[in-house]
Amino acid sequence: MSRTEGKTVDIPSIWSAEGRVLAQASRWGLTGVIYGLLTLCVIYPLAMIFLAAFTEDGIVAAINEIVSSDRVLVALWNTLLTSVIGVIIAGVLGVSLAWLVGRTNMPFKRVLDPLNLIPFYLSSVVGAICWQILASPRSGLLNVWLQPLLGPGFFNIYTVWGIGFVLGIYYSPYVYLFTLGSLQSMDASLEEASRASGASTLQTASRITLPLSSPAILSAWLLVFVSCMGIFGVPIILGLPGRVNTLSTLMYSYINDYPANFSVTAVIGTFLFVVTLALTIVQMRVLSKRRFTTITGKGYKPRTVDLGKWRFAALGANLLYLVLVVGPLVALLLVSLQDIWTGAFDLARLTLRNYEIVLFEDMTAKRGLSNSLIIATLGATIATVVCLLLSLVMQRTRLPLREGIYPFSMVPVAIPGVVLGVGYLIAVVGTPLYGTLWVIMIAYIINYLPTGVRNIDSLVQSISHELDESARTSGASWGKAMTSIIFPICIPGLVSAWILMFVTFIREVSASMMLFTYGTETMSIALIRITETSPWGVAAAFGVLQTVLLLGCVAILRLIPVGQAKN
Amino acid sequence: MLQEVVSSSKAVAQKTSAKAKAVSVDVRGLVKRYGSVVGVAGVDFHLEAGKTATLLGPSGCGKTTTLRCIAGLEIPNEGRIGFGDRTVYDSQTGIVMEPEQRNIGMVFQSYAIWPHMTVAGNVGYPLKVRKAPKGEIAERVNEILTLVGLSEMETRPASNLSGGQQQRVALARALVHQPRIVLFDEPLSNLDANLRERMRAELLLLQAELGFTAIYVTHDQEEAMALSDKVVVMNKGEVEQTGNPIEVFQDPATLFAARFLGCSNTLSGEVAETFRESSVLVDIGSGVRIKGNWQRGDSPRVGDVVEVAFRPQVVSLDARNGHNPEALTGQVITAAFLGHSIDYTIKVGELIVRAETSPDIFITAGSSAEIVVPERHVYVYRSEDTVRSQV
Repeated sequence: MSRTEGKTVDIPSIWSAEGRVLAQASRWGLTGVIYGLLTLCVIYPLAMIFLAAFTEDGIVAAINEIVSSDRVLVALWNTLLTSVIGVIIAGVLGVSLAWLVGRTNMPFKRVLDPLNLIPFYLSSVVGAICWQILASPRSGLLNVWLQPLLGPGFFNIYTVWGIGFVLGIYYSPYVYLFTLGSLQSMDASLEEASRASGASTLQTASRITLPLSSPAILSAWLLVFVSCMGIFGVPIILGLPGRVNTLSTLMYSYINDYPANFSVTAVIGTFLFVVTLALTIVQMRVLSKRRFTTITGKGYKPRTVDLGKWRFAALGANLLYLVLVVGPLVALLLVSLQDIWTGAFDLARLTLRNYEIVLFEDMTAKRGLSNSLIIATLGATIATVVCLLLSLVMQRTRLPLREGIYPFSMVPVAIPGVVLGVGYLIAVVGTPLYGTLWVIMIAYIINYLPTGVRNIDSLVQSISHELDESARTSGASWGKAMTSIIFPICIPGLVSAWILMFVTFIREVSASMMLFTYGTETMSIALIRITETSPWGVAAAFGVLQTVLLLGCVAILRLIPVGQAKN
Repeated sequence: MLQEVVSSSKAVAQKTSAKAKAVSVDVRGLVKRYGSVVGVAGVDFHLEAGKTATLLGPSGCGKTTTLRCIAGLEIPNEGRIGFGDRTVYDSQTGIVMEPEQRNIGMVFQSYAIWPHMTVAGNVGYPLKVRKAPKGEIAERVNEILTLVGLSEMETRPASNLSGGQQQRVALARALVHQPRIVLFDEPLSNLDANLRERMRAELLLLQAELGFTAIYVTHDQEEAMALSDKVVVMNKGEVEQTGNPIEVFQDPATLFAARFLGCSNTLSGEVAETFRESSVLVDIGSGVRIKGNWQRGDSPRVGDVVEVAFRPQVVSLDARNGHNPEALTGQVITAAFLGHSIDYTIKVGELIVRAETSPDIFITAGSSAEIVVPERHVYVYRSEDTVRSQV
């Protein structure tokens, strides 16, 4: 440490004035790289959609198409209808289950809580196939079984109602999570004060508890509505047989027309983007008001509402929900074990042949599985690293303009998967990236970027600054402090984040549907293809395979200790 | 415990160190702004090698920011920071040393013990990043842990230590690489009262043995007095007073310093009469006059608006009336028995005075009493707004 500054130093030390200029320049360089990459991956595809939609020809062609046939308007109507039905079902299910688990003495609620989340981790495409097996008008199990009672074809899943119903079941965990979170963070004394003022349990629930949770609930409803509007997998499976198009499936069929009609697709995509953007802004506004009603960690346990005899009815209701979730999966499993589906399970026809087909023979299935494993493994790893680096830059450096990175990385929240897929398609068509797995992977990563950055950013934020500052004052460089202190403490959280991304990428449909070509089918795409071309048994086996894969990930996820090492 | 630490620390210090050569710390014109908010507004102080300074002030006064600038955790906007003859920061020449290049030790308020490492892993870290050989690391970790009274705790995971143990680990980690300067950010504020007093004594012993230069940040005046050779009283990002503990306590330079150092009686008035030296008589309304010492600034004139400050402990009370012609007469409003003292609120005319006396005589609320405030303990300042306009 015999450093003397200034006098006889020839080479500019990076601590000298000249060195600082260099250091400053390299910092701006890094800022430029980050913003440049985000612009390229987020803004450029969006801009390509706008360009395709708003060129003169595009607009004229789109107006012609909309005026000359009612396909677009019908699809718009269907989209709104399925989304509204989905929100109502998910909203009622989610809020009531959350209240039962979070505020009442319903039996077994601790066991039921994680089970209520099952659809959250599963693929809604598989869910749609299950319900197809149960409620298709001619050969659906329910229709076959209940024919003596209700007559033929009583249930028809191939309708707007069917699509909305499946969406409702699969999105109820979102409402459930938001509501439960709000209930659990609510100051119990607010409800106790209501009871002390003479209100009954039900009056308290309806006048105090639910109104105080309403921002969270409303925000969840908006989120579900927006997701339903952009969803692709469920309407493509259940809409196709009954010719029920939604905007997303209509976009797909325009892309697959010959020649592909990019302009109408782009106009629909722009519309979906604008609606999603507007509702997402409303949702964030609503959510930001939630601060009023929550109180942090006073450790009060809210008093549970005594339901009396009704608690068994509540248990029954919750179990019924689980039957609606798990029952169809059982049907799927049964179908997958039969060589020919006759509408009833026949022990004599028990076989593993379908699994043999999807694992070893069917090329589409094999490609789908291996492609998805590659994309999900690599993509989740890259996304985790990217999100971690962005979070570290935002929170642990003095990089210029770092405050802008977070809002920038949130932009994809407003881009539905189909729209992102179309944007990437228009952006890469004619380049060597077209038809590669890499473009699908990048689209996945960008699609998941907001969630990933939010999760990992809050993970890094929860680590006290003093932990890495003490490393610096102990003599560690920035990089050493990050790798030896922050990174090891983050590992459990990063593993959870990785698994969640892996799960999301394994089951992704929307963006892949726009971007896949022959040879780059992902698992969900392969599943949809198989339902179109192969017997139900094969599709069911592939669906079971995906479900087992996803549930396996969830099981691992639940084994990871959460919230440790926060200091 | 204390005895153990004393003897063991002596032994270890003799064995290992070649006392690290301490260096002085020099802070000049330090300014740190956060956008338009000024956190530190031109702080100057100089601390001789091997001595201890305390930055004392209320929360938000800029003391922690100053310490973090010295550590290199914050980059100031203006000023110069020197360690001995080494410049670690200078806004004019653009020198900004990273924290790891300053060769300091620092104890954080939260202790910042790394939960994913063992005690030895935490303490040995500064040596490890300096690429010391493994054997030497183990040896020195062992020595320093003995020194702070945590011997044989090396393999314990750091995540389940008591507050006191965490404090010692943090201390050991800040000292293990024999830094010349050790910075302490409210190191004792998270400990309970008993432990705090013991750790205070141990810190003094450790410093005497290892001979580093120390800078503490605290809001506790007693802690500041006990630990340091030099107290820097800070307020709103500026230094109000610098001096040794006795000076600062007995001769607070500003009204703020007086208030912060325990003068909870502050009364406004006008100068009624001036005497030679710095003695003044102040009229504090309702016909009450009190004699005190003019503290700083131009000489007072009759009619100047001033503030009078004194500690409750210097007030003496007498239940008898007409006993002392110099005394003020008042009425006891509340009297609270605190064990080692009695806390009184007394109404003198329209004014409220607090007094804290020995518990020998208890005057009940409602009775009248005579109050004497010795002149040498009464500090008189020019009123705040006038002072400000002069500066």
